[in-house]
Amino acid sequence: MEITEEKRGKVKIVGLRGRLDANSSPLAEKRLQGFIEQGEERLVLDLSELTYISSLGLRLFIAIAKNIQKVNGKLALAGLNDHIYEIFKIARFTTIFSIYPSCDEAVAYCAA
Amino acid sequence: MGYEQIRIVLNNELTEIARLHQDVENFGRKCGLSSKTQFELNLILEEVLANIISYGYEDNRRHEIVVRAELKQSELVIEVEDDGRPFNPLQTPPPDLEQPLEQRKVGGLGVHLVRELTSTVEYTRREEKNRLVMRKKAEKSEPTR
Repeated sequence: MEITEEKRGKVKIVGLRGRLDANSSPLAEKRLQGFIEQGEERLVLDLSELTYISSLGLRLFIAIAKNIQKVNGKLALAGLNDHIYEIFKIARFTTIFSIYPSCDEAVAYCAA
Repeated sequence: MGYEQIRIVLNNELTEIARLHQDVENFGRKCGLSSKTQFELNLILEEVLANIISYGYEDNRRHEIVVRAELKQSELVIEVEDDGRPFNPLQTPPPDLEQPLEQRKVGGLGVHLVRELTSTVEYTRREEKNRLVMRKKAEKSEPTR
């Protein structure tokens, strides 16, 4: 798992690349929590290079979303591939997350 | 259509899941599985294995978990056998997925995914072992030409 970061205005864009599985998820979650602790309240997770996710990866999104909500921030996900989107649908994540096809749209939502 | 099967023996360590994925991907390629079926097969096995490895053992000893998968016509038969404490995933209550974010539980999705992504799941406990047999319709990848 590779994690990239970029700042566009007030929005922090974090790219999760590779596999979000039982081994990589705990570490990725720590990194993301770290950003929130540093004061990032508008977060876009760019998932366009994410190839795989399991329930431990899904768990990470719930945990991050709850913490963003606590600070009255904004969270958006972008670029999910078809297989991952399907898993999001099974977990009914599509109803609780703001999901955009492209990173630019997600950034626009978080910046507003 | 060919008949393919694989048998993988894993230790009860989460790092073994990477090796499992690699072996399962080779198996999927040999079978010509679609990328969707391949993805879901990896996911099913990870969920089952992560549960066994994380919650199945009360001692700190090494245990072996045996995974078998075979393609019979257009159906995958996936079997996992472990000597952990009795655990029937079919008895876990389904998670409440209609709750708003604040009330959503962080965990509990693994078994739900396994049930949704398979057509049948059978559990038996025999001779101090858990045995889970799952069946799943296999999609083939599109021919490249």
